Amino acid sequence: MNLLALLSSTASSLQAQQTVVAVSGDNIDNASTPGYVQQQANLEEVGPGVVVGNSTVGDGAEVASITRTTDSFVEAQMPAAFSAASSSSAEAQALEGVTVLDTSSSNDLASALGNFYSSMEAVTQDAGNTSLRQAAIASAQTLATSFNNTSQAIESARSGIDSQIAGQVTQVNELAAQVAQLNGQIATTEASGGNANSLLDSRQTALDTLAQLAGATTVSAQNGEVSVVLGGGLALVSGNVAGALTATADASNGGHLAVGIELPGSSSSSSLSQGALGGSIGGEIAARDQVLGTSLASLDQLAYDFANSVNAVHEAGYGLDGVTGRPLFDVGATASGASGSIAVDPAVANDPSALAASASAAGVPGDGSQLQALVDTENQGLTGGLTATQTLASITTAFGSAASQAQAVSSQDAGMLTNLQTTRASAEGVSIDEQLINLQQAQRAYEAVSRVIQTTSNLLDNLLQLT
Amino acid sequence: MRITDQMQFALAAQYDDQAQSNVESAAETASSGLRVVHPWDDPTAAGLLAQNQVTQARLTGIASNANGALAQLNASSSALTEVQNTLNSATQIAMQMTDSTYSASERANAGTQVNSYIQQIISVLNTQVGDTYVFGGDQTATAPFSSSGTYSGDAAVRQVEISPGITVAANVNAAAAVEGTGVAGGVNILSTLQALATALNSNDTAGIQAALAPLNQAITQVSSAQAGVGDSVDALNTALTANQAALTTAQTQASTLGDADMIQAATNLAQAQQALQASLQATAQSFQMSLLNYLSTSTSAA
Repeated sequence: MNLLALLSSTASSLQAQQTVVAVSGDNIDNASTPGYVQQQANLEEVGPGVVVGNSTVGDGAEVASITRTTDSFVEAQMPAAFSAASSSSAEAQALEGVTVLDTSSSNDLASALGNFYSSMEAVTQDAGNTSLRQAAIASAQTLATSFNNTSQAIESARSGIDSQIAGQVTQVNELAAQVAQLNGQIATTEASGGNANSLLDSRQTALDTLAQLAGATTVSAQNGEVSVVLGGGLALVSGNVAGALTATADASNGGHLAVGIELPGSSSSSSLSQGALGGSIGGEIAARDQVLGTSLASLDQLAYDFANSVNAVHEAGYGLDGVTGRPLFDVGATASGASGSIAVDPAVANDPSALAASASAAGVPGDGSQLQALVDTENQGLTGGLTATQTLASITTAFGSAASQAQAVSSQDAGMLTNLQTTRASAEGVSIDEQLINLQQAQRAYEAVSRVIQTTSNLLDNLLQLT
Repeated sequence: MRITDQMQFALAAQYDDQAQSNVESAAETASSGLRVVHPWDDPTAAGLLAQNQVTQARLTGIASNANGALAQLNASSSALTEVQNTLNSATQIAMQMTDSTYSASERANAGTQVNSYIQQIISVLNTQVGDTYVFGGDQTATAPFSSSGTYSGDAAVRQVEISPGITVAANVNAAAAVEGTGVAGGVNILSTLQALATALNSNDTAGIQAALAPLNQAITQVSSAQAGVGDSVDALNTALTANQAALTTAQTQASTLGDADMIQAATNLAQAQQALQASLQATAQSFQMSLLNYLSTSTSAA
């Protein structure tokens, strides 16, 4: 090997060490950048080198590549973990927002129901007493209002979830478009031999968020592009073309939002089957339609059955004015929406004498036996076989169990996600200590190469002095 | 495992958040004294608490009703006692006036006395508790006995619930007790007294003698009604005691289901606070462990 060639090779070695310093510097700069994956300058010996005897001496060092230190095993598990954790967390949070069934609530349905029966029973002892009648009607109104408030609180929570879903659908569509655009840029950059690491980081961040929002998974292509796929194999992004989620009011579900999909390249929306969406949108839909929807339907059924059971007795009784056939509650023709609409019949609400306490016209005003019969309905099973009180307890327990289960699953999923994120951060994150060591190492190498240059230069000087 | 900075900070934030959340939760339990606030705290207990609230409201309502009925029955009992005393006085007068030594004017005076008894009984039988005439049956809004003694009430007997599904009579059937309607060999008390007064005023000793048997029957009728009232009052008093016990049991059950064990809650709070402190200390210490500190120290030393 000649000395001039040696000088030339040290130049590339110096450049390589400078690159190592630059990469470490970039790593340190981005140590806290979300989604940033640690990069590594991969050095290699410059060949083919010079044959010296039976051995070969290389032509210095160069940076072969700068790669992201991703862990494909962990990455493959991330979308499902993000989806599950976001889904169960969103469901648990949505349910925790509903406090209308709390036991500590002072104006809750259970108290209102108990007071209703007691106030009605009080009238039986002095059926001609207007004050007692007014108190009984007021307790019926309180009960109806409690039903209305409970229904409104649940419905309000469901509408709040709709607002969240609408915002998240918009976010999903923006991210899908971003991934499609990044797919194109990455494919182009890699095809031209460029470094697409920062684009890959940006895309991975978008993909993580898509998994969190909609439970989207990815399928990689040879050219560096990825397809984004929802449950059931429906593509949200295909190459550099994005589809979109749609959110439209569903009349069959009380006007709540139904999420559909426009496949990439298509402008028509098709509905998504239950379970096609994971992530927070999937969890919110589950909370809205399954847990809260079921609770509301049960509450509607309770209000409907209770009102009809009470009305059947009340309509057979007589008011102080001798009139019979009046209902106590107005509840509508079907159970749907009954808890929201139940109200004391205006004829009774506006006139205490219309409360049908007597079992016969002749029993007016002192007979309260019809109201006693009405009170006795508290021990009668409704359509579900349970009494009104038992049904209310069952609704409370069912809601509590669902919320409790969602919290337990959320905690479990969050634990699994944390473990994976820790593993991912361990493999892909930046350790400043490690980078400082790399910097020290590169500095030492740089100094050593400089020494090689100095030595080579001295040798050349010596050689030139001979001539 | 390779430790990266982001991982270190993320884990520190997560562990500290969790420890902080545990403290908040323990503090909420310790300060509220409640173990079950939301249905998800203990779904089964939450359901039972809802039932318990209805039970407590019902027991309170039943107790209130029973007390109301008790007031009416006690008023009825006092009235019947007075009627009974008056009837005894009338019987004594009747027995006295059958003696031939009494003159017509003395019997007429006794007749006047019996007439005043009649008005006294009518007044007593028109007793009200609040706005309710207790001897009117279902006709509670109007005085059941006119000044002439005509009864405008009915034979209805109201029932008061003393425990879920169990009832006792809450008023006296004045039609039976006073008018003798539906009673074997029953007499109309006021008519009997009026017959006695008529016999006394007309100096009719045979008529006076004839009034003694109906008077005896009248006393029996009132005694029977009084006994019925006594039975109801006893039943109500027993029920009220049982009701109070049931209410106490329900309140105890609610406390068992929903209230926190304060010693346990205080211990949990102290434990959570200690864990938070430990977590914060560990976090602070881990942040100090950086090569950067040592490199900068060596640089400044150089």
